[in-house]
Amino acid sequence: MENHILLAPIVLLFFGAISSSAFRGKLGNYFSSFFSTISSLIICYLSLNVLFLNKILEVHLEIIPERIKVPLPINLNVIVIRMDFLSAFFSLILGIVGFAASIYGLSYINRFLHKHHLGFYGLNYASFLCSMYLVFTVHDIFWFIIFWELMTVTSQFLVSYEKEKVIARKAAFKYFCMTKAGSEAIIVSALIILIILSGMRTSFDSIATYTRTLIIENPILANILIAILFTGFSVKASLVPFHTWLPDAHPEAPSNVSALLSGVMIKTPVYMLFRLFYFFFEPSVLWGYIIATIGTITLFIGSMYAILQNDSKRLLAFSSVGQMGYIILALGASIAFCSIGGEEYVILASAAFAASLYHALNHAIFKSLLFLTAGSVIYRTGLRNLNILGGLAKYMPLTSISALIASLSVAGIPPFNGFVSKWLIYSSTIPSFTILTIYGIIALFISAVTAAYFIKYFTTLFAKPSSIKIENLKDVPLPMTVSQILLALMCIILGIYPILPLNMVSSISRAIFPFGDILSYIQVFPSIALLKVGMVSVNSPLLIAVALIMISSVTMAILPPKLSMFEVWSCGIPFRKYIMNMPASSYFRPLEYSFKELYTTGKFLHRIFIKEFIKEYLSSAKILAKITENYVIMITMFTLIIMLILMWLT
Amino acid sequence: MEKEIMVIINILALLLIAPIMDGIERKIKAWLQCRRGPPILQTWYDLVKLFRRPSIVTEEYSLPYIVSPYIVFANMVFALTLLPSLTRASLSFYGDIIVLIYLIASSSIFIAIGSISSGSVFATIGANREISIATLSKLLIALVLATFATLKRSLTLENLLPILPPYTVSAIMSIILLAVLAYIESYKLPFDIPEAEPEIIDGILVEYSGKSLGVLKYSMYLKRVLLFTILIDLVLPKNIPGIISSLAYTASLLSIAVIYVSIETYFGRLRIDQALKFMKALIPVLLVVIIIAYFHI
Repeated sequence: MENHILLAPIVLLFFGAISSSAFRGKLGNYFSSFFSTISSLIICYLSLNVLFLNKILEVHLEIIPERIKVPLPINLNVIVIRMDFLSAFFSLILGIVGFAASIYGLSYINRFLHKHHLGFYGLNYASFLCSMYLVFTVHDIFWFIIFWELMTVTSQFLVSYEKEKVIARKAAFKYFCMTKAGSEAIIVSALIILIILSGMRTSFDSIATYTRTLIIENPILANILIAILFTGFSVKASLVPFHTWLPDAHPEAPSNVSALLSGVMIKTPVYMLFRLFYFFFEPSVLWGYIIATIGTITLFIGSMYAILQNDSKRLLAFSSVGQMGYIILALGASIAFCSIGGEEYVILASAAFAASLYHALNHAIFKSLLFLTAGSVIYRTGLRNLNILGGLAKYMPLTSISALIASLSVAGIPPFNGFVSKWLIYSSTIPSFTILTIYGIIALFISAVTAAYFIKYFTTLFAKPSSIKIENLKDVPLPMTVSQILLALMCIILGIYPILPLNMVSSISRAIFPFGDILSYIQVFPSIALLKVGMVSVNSPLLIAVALIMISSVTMAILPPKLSMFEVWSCGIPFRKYIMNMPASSYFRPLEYSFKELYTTGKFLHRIFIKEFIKEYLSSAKILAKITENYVIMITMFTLIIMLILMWLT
Repeated sequence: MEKEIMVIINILALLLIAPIMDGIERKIKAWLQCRRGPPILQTWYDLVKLFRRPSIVTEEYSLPYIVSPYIVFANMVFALTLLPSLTRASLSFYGDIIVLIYLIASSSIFIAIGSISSGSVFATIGANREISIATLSKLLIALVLATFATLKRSLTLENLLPILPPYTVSAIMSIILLAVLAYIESYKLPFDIPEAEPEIIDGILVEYSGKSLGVLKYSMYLKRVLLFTILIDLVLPKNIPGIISSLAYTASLLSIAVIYVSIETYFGRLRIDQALKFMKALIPVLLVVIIIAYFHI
């Protein structure tokens, strides 16, 4: 019975998509948001069920009844939907973020009322969720390709939802060019080669048995396949140098969709990379180092560019690039250490394995929360410009607190969740004494940069005085507040109890990690997880969270400030509102100046590669479009003629 | 259990010593400038006075402005528990040195968020400088950490400390560089940039008053002690009996304070970009030190 619940989210989302597309007004949004909320809850339930009860769910869905024989070379008739541990973990991410984003959408999307077709949003939103769910759970490469494509198409429509904005259209086009024409072409080609090579079998298991032999018999071909797939996935995962679409595309979507895009969609390639290296192929040292290097470059570039941004959602998008770097660095480290072997490296590998998955979960939660808070600011003020916004903490207290919690989580401040996963990344890379030590150091430095730009994000939105008149705002409506508070609470809970996510990771590791359960190498305490290296701490270290809260509350109790108000001191002259403040563009100028070589190189590379490339691409795309147009007309004509002839013959 | 009691003794002692050390620094500074100077307990008197006063908040303030001084204080106290100081006991666990770095960094972050939340533009400028310096210094500290980890093959303070018995070039170089960093981080004069008094009227502290200011100043004294303690622990041998080591610790704390304050007297303030340039110049040096450390030179 439980197996069939796997189909419930698909049915509900399908129903939501169809029913909402009929309405132009509010109902178009309500239908899809309602069904998405319910199906997200079901997805959460299912994945928690799999992860904690250790029961893999599987259902075979027949498209065409068995008695009608379809002569196809591949058996495409059956979709195998299977939630194993890895799928369940990523589905859980989808469930949590999808739940928050859907509730949030109930009120947020109504700001587009009368301007846009809300049913169009509803259709795409529900099918986007559905396709992501299927990407995570489908166990068949052919159908995986189909749903992956569907995910890209629907998300592209959501990116260009405000289609009257030129910038949104351009961003969607860039997104389309890079992910659809660029990455998916090569992913699909590589997967088709795999299907053909493995004798027309498409299910994950049969391909895995084939690839395991391929890597031994023909390592060159196998490595070429891995390289093609990795390049393809790295475009979608926005790894440098293929990250350029993300900072354009993610901010342009409605904020709750941005949350889904940054929180979940860019995790789909991570999911596939885990499948690729731990399920299809064996971990190898070379690939581990390559992936870790790319991850480090990504986290460095993404975060260094995030400091420069003066647009709230664009800053968050660049930060997504940076945080993806952390995830990929940890993944690469785990792959490398896994294949190096030896007792010491197995511990490091398991910590890196845990860190990668844990950070994927954490990033999904805090980044979607940040996008939701940016959306709340847009909902009330209509602005994204950090230079002129400010002082919103007074009017939107709950939103500001959740933004603060999320910012501190991203910056990796104990006791929030970002700390534990980043901590695992450092403690697995730095003591390796390979090139990864340097990568760990860079990651440690970049976490300070992360803190810097989130101070910029938080203070320019909520703390510093604004430079325009912002008055009499209310906090956002109940559904939006609820989803923000929910995610903020999850940031704290996952930070204080790392045992919850690490238990899930341990069930994944028992299934696919070559050295078994990670929890036999990691000791988990509240708000920290330690590696079992050398001396194992018998007495648990002081709980960081509890200690901090205790000490500060005790000092607060002994020395509570008695408050009386006075105007801001401005050297004797009266404080002039809207004038006396520091715009976001002036933040960290000296710091930016001290990294000026990096930025000039970036500008140079951008001019040479991206600008020229896009120009070429656009001009050839136009020609291609014309050719295709003619082509399509020709094909249709031919088909019509042939059909007419056939009809005439019969 | 004994260990925990020793740690608590450490903390209490350092809470007492930190303001006194500042008093001594002020006295020495006065002597070097041919003044008589305030009594050594003056800093304590100031703090007690501040604690008894109510705080005035700005009209533009938001919550982090009130809370963050206490969080900074808690961060500093917790960081002190990780290091052996007066007694040679500390809370120790795998990778505690990374937690130490995080606590120092997060104190900067909370100072910045709190002071910007006051709504003053001077505080915003100060916080910006604070974060700019903290970011670069975190890179340098991370590099020093990598050197130590490479030398000792460990991430636990208990195994790392003391660094010195292998008297290698890299060990000595890294300690010297850490001393420079500690100088920068403790806002001594050429680097007294985030709270530049004449320029941006105390910067990050401008809108703080009364108890909040007292707590913030107290945590700054504690930060100074913390940085000095790190330096001392790097060289103080482990296997010497309790009382002698306590005496040695106190003596070296005082001597570092004296050395630093006498350097401070001879400098004017650097501009923020000059300071960052100076710190940037240390990066290649540290990279070389790491490579040397890798080959045990």
